[in-house]
Amino acid sequence: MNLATLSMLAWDASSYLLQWRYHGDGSVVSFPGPGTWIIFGVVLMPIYVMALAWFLGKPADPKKAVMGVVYLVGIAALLWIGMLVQTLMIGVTFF
Amino acid sequence: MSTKTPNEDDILRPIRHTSKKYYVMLAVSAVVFTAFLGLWMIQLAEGMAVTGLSDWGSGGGVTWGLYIGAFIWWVGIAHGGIILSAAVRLLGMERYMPVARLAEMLTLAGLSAAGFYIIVHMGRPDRMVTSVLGHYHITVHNSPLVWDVTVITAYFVMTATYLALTLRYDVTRLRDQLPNHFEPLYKLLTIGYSKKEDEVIERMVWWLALAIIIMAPLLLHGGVIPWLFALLPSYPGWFGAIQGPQFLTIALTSAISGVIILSYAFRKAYDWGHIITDDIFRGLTLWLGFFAMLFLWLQLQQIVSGTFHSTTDHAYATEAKLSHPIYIGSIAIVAAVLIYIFAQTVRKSLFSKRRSIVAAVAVLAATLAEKVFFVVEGLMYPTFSLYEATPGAYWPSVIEFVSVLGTIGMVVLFFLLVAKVVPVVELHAVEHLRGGHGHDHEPEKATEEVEA
Amino acid sequence: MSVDDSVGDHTDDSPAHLDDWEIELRSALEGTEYDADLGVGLAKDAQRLATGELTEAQFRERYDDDVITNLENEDFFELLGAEDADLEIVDDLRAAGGTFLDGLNGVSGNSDTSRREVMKKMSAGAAFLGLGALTAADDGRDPQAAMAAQDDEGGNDTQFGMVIDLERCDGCLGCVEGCYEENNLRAGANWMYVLNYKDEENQRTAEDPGRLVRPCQHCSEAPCEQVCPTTARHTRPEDGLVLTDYDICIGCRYCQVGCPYGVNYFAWDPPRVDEEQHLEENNNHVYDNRDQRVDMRPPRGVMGKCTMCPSRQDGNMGEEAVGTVACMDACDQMGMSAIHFGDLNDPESRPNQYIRHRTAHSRGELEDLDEEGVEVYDDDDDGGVLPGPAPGDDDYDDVPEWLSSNIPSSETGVSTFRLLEEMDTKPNVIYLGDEPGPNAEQLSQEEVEEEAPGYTISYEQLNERSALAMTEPDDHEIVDDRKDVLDESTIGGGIGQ
Repeated sequence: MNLATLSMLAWDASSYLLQWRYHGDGSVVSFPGPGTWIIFGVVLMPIYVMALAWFLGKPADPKKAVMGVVYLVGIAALLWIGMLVQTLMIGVTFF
Repeated sequence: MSTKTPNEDDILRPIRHTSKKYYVMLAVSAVVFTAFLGLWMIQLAEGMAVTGLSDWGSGGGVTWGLYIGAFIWWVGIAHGGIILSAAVRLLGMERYMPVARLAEMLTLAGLSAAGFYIIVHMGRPDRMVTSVLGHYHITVHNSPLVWDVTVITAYFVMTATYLALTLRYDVTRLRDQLPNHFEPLYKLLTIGYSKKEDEVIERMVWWLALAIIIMAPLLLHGGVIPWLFALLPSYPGWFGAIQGPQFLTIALTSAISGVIILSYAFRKAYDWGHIITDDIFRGLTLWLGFFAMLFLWLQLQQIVSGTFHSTTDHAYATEAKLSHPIYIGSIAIVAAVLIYIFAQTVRKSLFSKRRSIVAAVAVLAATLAEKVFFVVEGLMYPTFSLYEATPGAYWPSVIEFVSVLGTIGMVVLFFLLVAKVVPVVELHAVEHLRGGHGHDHEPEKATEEVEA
Repeated sequence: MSVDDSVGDHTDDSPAHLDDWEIELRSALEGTEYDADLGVGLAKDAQRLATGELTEAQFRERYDDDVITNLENEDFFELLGAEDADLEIVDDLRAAGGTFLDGLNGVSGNSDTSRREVMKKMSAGAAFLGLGALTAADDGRDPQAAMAAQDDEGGNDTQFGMVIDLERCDGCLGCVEGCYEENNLRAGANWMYVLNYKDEENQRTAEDPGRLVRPCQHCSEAPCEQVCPTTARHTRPEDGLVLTDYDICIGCRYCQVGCPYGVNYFAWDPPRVDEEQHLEENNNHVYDNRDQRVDMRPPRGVMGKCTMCPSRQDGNMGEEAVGTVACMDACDQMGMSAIHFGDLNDPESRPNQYIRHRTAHSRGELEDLDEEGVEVYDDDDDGGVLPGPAPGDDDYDDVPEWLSSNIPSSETGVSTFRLLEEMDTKPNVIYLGDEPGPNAEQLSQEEVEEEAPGYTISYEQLNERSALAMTEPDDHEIVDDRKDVLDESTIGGGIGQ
């Protein structure tokens, strides 16, 4: 398989996964956009730094750092699952 | 100023004692909140037409109104927790330690109210999770609204984690004095606790606080929320780089006001004059003045650049703003508060807690009005202003007005309930005050024995 | 309405550009059989024409009629002495042309000429180099050139859009009515909207108002799509239509806020006909060929707007409806033919044919009148409406060879514009006629009726005519005060003005 075929495959796969879409003028929308770097490059930076510091800082306790991550992920999941349940109930009742 | 020495009993009082007034407040806030839930159900059943909103353009109205204004307002209030935590943990201003946890809880409550507004504002709230999360990987790259959802979630999760981590210390130590019926909850909160962890958790919490402090004011309220508006070039009332700092100053004034009111309520209810001291109120009031000044300063920037020699559409929008009583009124209120605060720093006798409360309530009313006006005015005076002969004006409907009371009720309810479960003042704060590090008051007695 | 007087995206006005293109052009031409001196000389004069250094008359004096005719035919290569051009040379020329246009952009900032004039001259200049396509690629302004820009990206080659001739519109509101009937629109949801305005800059007064016919602009850089938090608002890749997936939309209304044109209409309350019945009755009409629900009026709680009738384009409404839209059909039926829908990338599509006919028509008049020095528009008998070929006319589909060239718009006498171009939304509706200026003010129906009776029909008259409005007046009355309609459902408050 040559490079051209590979890159075409990669393009197809990524456009499937990321759902790239086309503008009327033929250019691609969606990815990457301003949000790609604003959110993942700038806004979430404090979280990256915090997570690094949790694991690398002294006095070290990887277990507690993992616990912290579980707190973050768990609360986020709780928040959105709660919201999902709430919105589904709204859907059943009103729509 | 009280000269009593604070102890564990003091901070456990809300959990152990329930006054008649508590039940009255509980009832009132529950009724108001439920009333709004009922009205919201009417909205869900009959559609958004029950609001005063319409389509901008040939629809003769505004797309967004009080709901969005109040959403911004609540996110602004939520910043109280950040300011106090920053002051205490990162800047070493330990005098504010007694109100830090209250403020952090205000963050959670404020963000919940804001999140509630997002759902209330939608035409199809039932799809909120499936449609937004389901396409997140595509939309996050371009949609400022998705950025907002991302950052508000992050802010909420981080603040909740912060509270959960700091509560481990308190709940473990106070466990025996806490009510048994919440036992499973306390077990969950303190899962895997060991004394060794204190130092590690302390460090983790410091980093967490740092992360929140950068994210919340600078990237949320000075970032993605103003960007919802400031990135749209077709609305001269919104567009431009100044909205970031402008939003932030408004958020900080309302946040401080929220903390002042909340602290005063708890101090009065639980006789905490020796914990939430007059000194704290003086300090908070001063900060309120400082942020109010920044607020007005940035308004001035906008007025000058919008009137001197601006483009047609911008001049038009500025003129409309300057001739509207709601705008003038809110600015005047903030200016009056600033003058009072300045006067009481020069002449100390002018200060009283009651006056601080009045100032805080006035500022909250002004910022809510200003925020709603900002949203509406932007849509009323777009660059493409060809629709101006289309009849229509916006005035919020009863449901929209009640939503403000309803969310306030929701936040009050939150505090009434949370205060029954966990201490709303950090044990550290009591230890600190007892340790004699108070600023302008010395404990009369030596350390009291802790009651078993 | 434009408040931005800058020209194009290029701010670099270094004269170096002007030299660069000359070197590039010369090196592209030298070593070939083309006459490099003539090419460069011509291009230079074209540039002088654009900067105002050279008047059109002087330019015409300099070159004989043959040259000019050839220029108009874009037949640059023939002009320079070659029979047919090989592709590499064309590429080189295009590269040279790119910098040539940069140069023109820079220069124009210094001249006194108005923005539109400069734009016209720029496309004239570009035409001299056979670079019409580049002007379009550069700023998306030139409709004729837009069609030549297709296929370059290797992606979709259809871009539906419209040419709307504002000078033909007589205010019958047939398009509004047609759109209501086609899409079962709710009262006040004027997906197609016609505004009358006064505007001192255009000498438009209440007695002689300006007009704007406003469907969705189906932008190629649609801000509504960009801000949508769900992808409900999207562009159909196969034809560039900007649509809303009614099954995904959450009703946050950010698309309405993000749109600078105000074309979105939210479904604030439930329609009178229930969903199941609506879907059953209109199965072919609400789903497009991807089986996405994007057509007709939206269900409660989601956003609607002009769709340019995707189910028609997909053949769901019958073969004869393909390539048509309801507003255009209605406009044709009223005998106005002011709306021309089709693929802007196809040179033979109705909008492109129309714009060619229209410009050629007025150009012919211009030449006739030019010698007498008489302006062409003011003394028209038809109340300012220029006659143009309509679809029924004999010569409508008969496109003369010379007409397929890029006619410099400076000579057409018809101004074309797209709304709020400075917002960079790349709208796909091209207007012929006057653009409302930044100070244009809408005139209410009452004002128009009073000051310019007969200029437009009233909504009352429209409702008396509309079958839909007559059968279900409560739900489908055609009105321009949607706020008042919605206020009836508002619970407490919602006071009118």
